[in-house]
Amino acid sequence: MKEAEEPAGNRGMRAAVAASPEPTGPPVQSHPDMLHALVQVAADTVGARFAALVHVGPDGHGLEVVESVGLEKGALEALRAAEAPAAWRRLGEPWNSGEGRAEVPFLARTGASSCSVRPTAPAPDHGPLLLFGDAGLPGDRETALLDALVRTAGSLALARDIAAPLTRAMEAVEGGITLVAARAPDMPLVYANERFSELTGFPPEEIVGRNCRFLQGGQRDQPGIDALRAAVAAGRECTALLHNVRRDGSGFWNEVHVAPIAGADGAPEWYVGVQRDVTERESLRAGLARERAEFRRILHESSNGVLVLDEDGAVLYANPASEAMLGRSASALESESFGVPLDDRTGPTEITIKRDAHDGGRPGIAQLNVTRTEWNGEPAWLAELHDVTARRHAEDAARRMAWTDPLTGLGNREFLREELEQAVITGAEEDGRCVGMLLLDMDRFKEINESLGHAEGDRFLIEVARRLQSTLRDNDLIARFGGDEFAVLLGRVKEVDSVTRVADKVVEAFHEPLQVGDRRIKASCSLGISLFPGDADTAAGMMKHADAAMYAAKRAGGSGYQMFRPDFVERAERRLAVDQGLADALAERQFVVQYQPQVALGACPRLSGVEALVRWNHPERGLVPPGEFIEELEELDLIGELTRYVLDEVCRQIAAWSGDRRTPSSLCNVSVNLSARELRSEELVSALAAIIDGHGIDPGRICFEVTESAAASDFVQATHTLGALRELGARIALDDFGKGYSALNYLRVLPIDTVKIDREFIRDLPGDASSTAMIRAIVEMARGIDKHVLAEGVESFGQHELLQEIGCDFAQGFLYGRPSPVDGLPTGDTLHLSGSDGS
Amino acid sequence: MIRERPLMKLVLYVSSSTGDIDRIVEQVRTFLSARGVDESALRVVDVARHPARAEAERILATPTLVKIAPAPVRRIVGNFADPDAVASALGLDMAKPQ
Repeated sequence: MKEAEEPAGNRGMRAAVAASPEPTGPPVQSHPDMLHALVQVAADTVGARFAALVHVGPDGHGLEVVESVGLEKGALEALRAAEAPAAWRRLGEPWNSGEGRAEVPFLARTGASSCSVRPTAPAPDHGPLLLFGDAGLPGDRETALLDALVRTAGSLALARDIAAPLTRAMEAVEGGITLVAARAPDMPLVYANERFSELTGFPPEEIVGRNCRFLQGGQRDQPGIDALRAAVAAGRECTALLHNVRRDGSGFWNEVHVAPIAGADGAPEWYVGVQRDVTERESLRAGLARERAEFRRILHESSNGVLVLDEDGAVLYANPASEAMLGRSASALESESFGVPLDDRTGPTEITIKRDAHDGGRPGIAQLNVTRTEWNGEPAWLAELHDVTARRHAEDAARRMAWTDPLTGLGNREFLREELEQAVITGAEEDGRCVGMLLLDMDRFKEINESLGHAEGDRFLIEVARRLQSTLRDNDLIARFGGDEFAVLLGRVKEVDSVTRVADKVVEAFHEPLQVGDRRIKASCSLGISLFPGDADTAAGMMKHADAAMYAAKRAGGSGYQMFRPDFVERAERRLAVDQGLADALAERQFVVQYQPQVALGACPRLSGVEALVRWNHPERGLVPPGEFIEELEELDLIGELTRYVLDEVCRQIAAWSGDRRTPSSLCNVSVNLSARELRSEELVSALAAIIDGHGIDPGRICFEVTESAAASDFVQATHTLGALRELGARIALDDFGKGYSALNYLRVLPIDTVKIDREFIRDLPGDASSTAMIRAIVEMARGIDKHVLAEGVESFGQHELLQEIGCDFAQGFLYGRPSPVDGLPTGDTLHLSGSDGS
Repeated sequence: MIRERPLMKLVLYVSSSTGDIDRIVEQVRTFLSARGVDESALRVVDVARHPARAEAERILATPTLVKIAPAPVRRIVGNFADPDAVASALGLDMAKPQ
């Protein structure tokens, strides 16, 4: 590689340099600075005191100064006034410093001593030429450069225009300027201005003659370098961004604009480069890019769907989470219409979304949040979607929990109702199928529960559930409705027989006692059966009918099943009405007490007392007898309240009678009924004692009546409670004797004063010999153990006479008086026998 | 003389699989009746039962209410509780009928 000798004129260059016009296409715009720069470079190249680009018209006339450097105003005017010397027109040689000198009269105004001319090819006699003052003799390299400059300047001047790339180069005039020899080996740098040295820290003497890659600092692998190489190879203009290294090793971003300057053959001979430090801009841009990337990453990784929608609801942007939520790719979403989003300012708005395949494409739920925003300067909606499907599923699970009976783990009433509804719908669609519902209630559960205690009672229910599960098939649905009520759903049954077979199996399953802790408990159940579509066509109807059938099974004695019959409905409805009305009735004191006389039998029968009998004074039905509501009150756990109410009424009445001299004192002996349940209540005795005491009544006036079956159901407890009542001073009568268990031993052990013989034994008197014999035996036995005997249901005089003859102590019945309000009671001890004669 | 109201056609897309569709349908009906629009102007599509139709109409989320007539077609999605917001988003004039 041949090193160019360094011309003196290369030092102290001042001007900016531009490049050649674009090889193809017309020049587009005049740019005076460009020509100025070219002229300056030319002056610097040969170290001239001044330089001017002069246009000479044909025949040497019309001299025009296009551009000049280093000429004072006066000298310039003198030049403009001059005729082009004839010698200039003859200039065939590239360089002639002598010939023109004498013929240049303006020279005196310039301070230069010589003037030389360089014409522009290819028209030496006219056209543009360069005029130098005191120019040095150019070397080969300078001559070549000058040729190029003159050619360029000439064509520019001829066009009076300047090409766009040059304009851009000139705009970057504050940048560093370099000139590279395109045809020299390794394309050495031949020129660099001061700005370039300021920019890079390299003084020109260190870098001229070297390839510009010294700026790269080893960073060869840059896209900008590739672009630059490609442009140079093609002889094209190019702008590239390079990361370069200053002399002190610091890096900077260099935006290089390179343009070729064509040689005489039209191929690039020089490349002029303008360098600009864009580090600040680039770091700003990098910061912005980083920020954008960061935001993009946040949007990308966000589990929330983010949509930007235009004013009409079309998707402008969708992040990946929204892709998953809406089941479409972002590119598919963009251009789709989501719709103008409307949310609720007062709370979350939930929308249903289609989730992507990983969830089987099942619909999900998203909360929608909407914000007004701008997108590319246009008003837009920002819609955020927060997927709450999982939360909803969790809530559904919680709801499912609400379908479970926590005690047994079986389904609850809601569960069975839902299943029944499904079964009914499915059954309705499949011809010939029916659905069976079994409602099961444990017999005597209340007694079991109360005798076991609640904890054991719960264990008993768990055992019932197990027994049902082991008896039934896996696909028979079992539920617990609460308390001791269970239900079984038999779906898709082909025939009614298979339902009754299941019911039989369940009833039989309880023949074997249940093991509760270390106790074996004998249990039985009553089942009611309803069928779809035979008995009802809705789930609610089936449940209602199964309930009615179950009650019928109960009434039939329990431990069995009953198929639904339409006439159950009326009864069930009546029962329901009773249940609903009873609680209100107690609160509104709709119960009234009536009194039925009791008579001491003897030679002259006389009033011995009354039995208080409660009636429900129903607002529509009138007086309702106790048979229709006592059992229901027991089930509703309201019987204690009724008893206290009745006893209170009775005590008040006794107090009233006691203060009235006209009333026979025997009226004040009042019998009050206690139910079986009450006998098991711990608080009964103290509650009753408090009422009696509250009215200041002699407890001996009160006789509590309990039925034989009630006493027998929990014999130990009954003995205890009755004993306590007796200790208060009250008397005790055993009601309905002979009807139930009738163990004679009860009579001996129970703390009672009177035995009341059930009306069934009296009914056939006086003609029936066996009844007569039994009554005789009871009377005889009672006397032996020091108890009184009262005969119930005495309706005829014949019965009365016989009982008298047998020696029965007391009697009660229509013969002596029906139950009546206070004002219907006898006013004296002596009775008028009003009953029928019975014959 | 009473100017005839322009024919209105709306389709409401709801999903019975997750949403409380009765409430939404009721909201839209109330909105329409308050504006004197006959119920027959509204068609309700349950996308859970007619997924293909929702796909064909490119329904991205439900509930979506599409106003087909009068032009231009507009769709709104989300909460339809505020009648003014619904009217404005559908591009219907805000004036209520006398």
